[in-house]
Amino acid sequence: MARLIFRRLLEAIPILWIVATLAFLLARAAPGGPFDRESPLPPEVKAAVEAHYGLDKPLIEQYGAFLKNLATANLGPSYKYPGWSVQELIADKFPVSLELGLWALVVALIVGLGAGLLAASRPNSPRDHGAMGLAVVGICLPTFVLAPLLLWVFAIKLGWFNAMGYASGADIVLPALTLGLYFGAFIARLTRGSMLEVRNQDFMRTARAKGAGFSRAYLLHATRNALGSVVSYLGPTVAGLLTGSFVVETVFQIPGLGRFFVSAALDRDYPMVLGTVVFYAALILLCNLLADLALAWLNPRLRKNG
Amino acid sequence: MRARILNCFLFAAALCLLCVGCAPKETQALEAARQGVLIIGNGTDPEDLDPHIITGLPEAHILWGLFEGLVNLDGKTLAPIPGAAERWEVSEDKKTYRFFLNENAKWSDGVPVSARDFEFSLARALTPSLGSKYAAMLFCIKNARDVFSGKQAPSALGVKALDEHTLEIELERPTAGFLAILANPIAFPVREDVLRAHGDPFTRGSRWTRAGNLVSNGPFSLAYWSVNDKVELRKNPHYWDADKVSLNAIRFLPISDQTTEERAWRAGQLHLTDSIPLNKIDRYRDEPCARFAPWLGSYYYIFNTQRPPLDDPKVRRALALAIDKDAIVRVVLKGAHIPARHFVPEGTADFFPPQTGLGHDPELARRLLAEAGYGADKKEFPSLSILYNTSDMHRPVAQAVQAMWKKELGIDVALLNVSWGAYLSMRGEGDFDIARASWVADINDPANFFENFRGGNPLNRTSWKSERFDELLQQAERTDDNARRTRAFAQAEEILDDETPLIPIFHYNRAYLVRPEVKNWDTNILDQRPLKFVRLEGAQE
Repeated sequence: MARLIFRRLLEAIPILWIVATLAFLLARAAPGGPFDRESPLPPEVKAAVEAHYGLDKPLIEQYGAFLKNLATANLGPSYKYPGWSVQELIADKFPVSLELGLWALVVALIVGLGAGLLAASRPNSPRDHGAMGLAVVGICLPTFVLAPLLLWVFAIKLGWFNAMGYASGADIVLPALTLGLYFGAFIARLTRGSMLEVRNQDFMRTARAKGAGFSRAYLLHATRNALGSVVSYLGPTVAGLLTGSFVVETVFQIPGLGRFFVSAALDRDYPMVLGTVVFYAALILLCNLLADLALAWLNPRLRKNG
Repeated sequence: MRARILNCFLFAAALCLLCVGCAPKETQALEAARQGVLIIGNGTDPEDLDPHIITGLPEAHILWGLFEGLVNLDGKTLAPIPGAAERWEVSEDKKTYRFFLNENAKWSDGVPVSARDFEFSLARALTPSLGSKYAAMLFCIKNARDVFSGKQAPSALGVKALDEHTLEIELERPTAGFLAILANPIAFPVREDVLRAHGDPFTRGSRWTRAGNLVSNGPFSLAYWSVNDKVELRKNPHYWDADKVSLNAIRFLPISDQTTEERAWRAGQLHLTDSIPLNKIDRYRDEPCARFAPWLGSYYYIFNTQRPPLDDPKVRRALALAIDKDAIVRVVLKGAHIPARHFVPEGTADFFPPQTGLGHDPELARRLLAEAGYGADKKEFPSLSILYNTSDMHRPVAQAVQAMWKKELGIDVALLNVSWGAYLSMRGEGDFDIARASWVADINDPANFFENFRGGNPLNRTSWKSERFDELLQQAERTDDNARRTRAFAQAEEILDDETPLIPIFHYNRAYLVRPEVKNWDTNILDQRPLKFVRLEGAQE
């Protein structure tokens, strides 16, 4: 197990380097620069600002400086927010997205596993059709539709929640539901599918034959085997959830990290683009590692080959 | 068993969710009004709070509460009124201004505001390494241009503190709007020792603008700033006119999404919005909370005058006359803005638009196009495209223009919708036929608009050049005789109308919502907001 972790961490270094390099090149290849505006800066002012950030140097030199800084975990200053550094902004905004993402994950798991198990417990019954019908609706309803819908009902019509902001504890309910229900719908379908596959396997019949009740066989033996696909799906999904969603953060006005992924690219805030991309990549690698560890725990066969 | 536990848990969770939300509550706006806290939807996220670095209106809105220049502008008339200086004298030749600072003026940490602070600040704003976008606004000050380009030492600048409370500013030549310039963030004071405590005062990237670090001299001080979250100002007890300041605090929320903002407004979370979404204009039009305030901005299309057939003024004029701006404003923009016949908006100081102008005259347009050699039995009109960036407004406007040209002139144009960055770079490099553009003036002066079409100015993306036009601009700049300035501007506008390097489409209104509790909310064409005098009804004193 320790070897697996060590090997994965070693592998992460070249992967992060490739991601960082690609992001660097793509960001620079995009037309326009960080200091272009509708009413443009006077040329001499633009030159002074670009010189301040070293943007007047040859690209290869900038790349070298970027890698050197990255190695020392220094992501540089944000161009858009001149008084703030990229790691400061990530450190400031990530906890918000993390909190929201964890709550959304709880919602997704409860709804997804619940509906999936319920549906698979009696395939092709009204219960199955009902749960899966809802799941399909959930998948088809993107967050930018669901969020305004929830807001309209619970914030405007009923007045139970604020229509935006992230000041009080209750403010997390609607965004967490929006994000959670969407991913919950995927998890529900995944759970149902793999449960149906496992249900009819030999070991289930053995378990029942040896006297295990339906719920014990179903919830304990089958679930443990069926969860594999859900866990693999959760790896990258959790990374995505925790780093925030542009749509949800914009609609609910939440000061999280998700908005930076999009706004930094649009603003051509190169250090912010690279910082968020590298951060996201590192998080995906970490979550995938955790997912693999969870899989190994669920399935002893994987441990040997680990 | 496990299933039951899960069920119980689910039920409990659902119950918790309901209880959290069920308690009836007063809207946030009313609660805040009671506490004297004004909540403002402030548009895009402020990038910085350094008055010499900021480039946008959202930042300026915050800074007008935080800082105070030598003069303030009256919220209604934009006439200069005392700010940090309680009075001023102008020399006979109108080239030397002497400002007498209010002796009670203090920074938010209680230190007196001195003339030396202004001397330092104006020189700092002109430091080349700082890269201040609006430094050029100060070029009317003696030697400012040379200081900015590094040709002269900062000490050569025509700004001198004669003593603690007297400041003398020498100008290059008499300048009509000089006092109004001093009310802009670029002329706000910052304090040298505060800046030095947080690094080099003459480069970007300093942390002095953070809450807790920032010291300001205006009616409010900075209490909280978190990116993408909010900026909160608190009443500055050391402010010289603190007795007149009614608000206890102001909360600026950076809500970039208009729909989110409008929803928050309906839920009672805001006193003021930054805008009204286009699709909600009809709904709010006649409500007392809606404001439509003329704004010093124009929305227009520019021609690349180097690309045939747009090098022919007749073609450009024909295209302009074929557009029904009234219809665009009425139908596409729901009447939220003002149809334009000229480039410079009416209401700009010293500007009286000429009688002519670019109205809607399809008959004349067809004739002009025929004269230029295009038409049914003549040359085929080359295919052109309209460049614009992705936006809910630019697209329908471009579609309307496309349809009008097809209908009136039988011309097909393509629509080229690109991302913001691509749009700026294509327009900047002249890689377009026709492009949308907009300009919002920083000061109340027609010259600020006309600069966009001065020959050789990098702002001028059209490649159009007119010696007569440039000469008129120079005339207006060189004179302090208002009548001559006005005449020069009217003639300059006539040249733009005749030669048509651009098609004016509409002048901006600022459309936003204001709750009835907000009093003394004055509007003006610069959208300068005198937060100092704003009052909230129902506030507990």
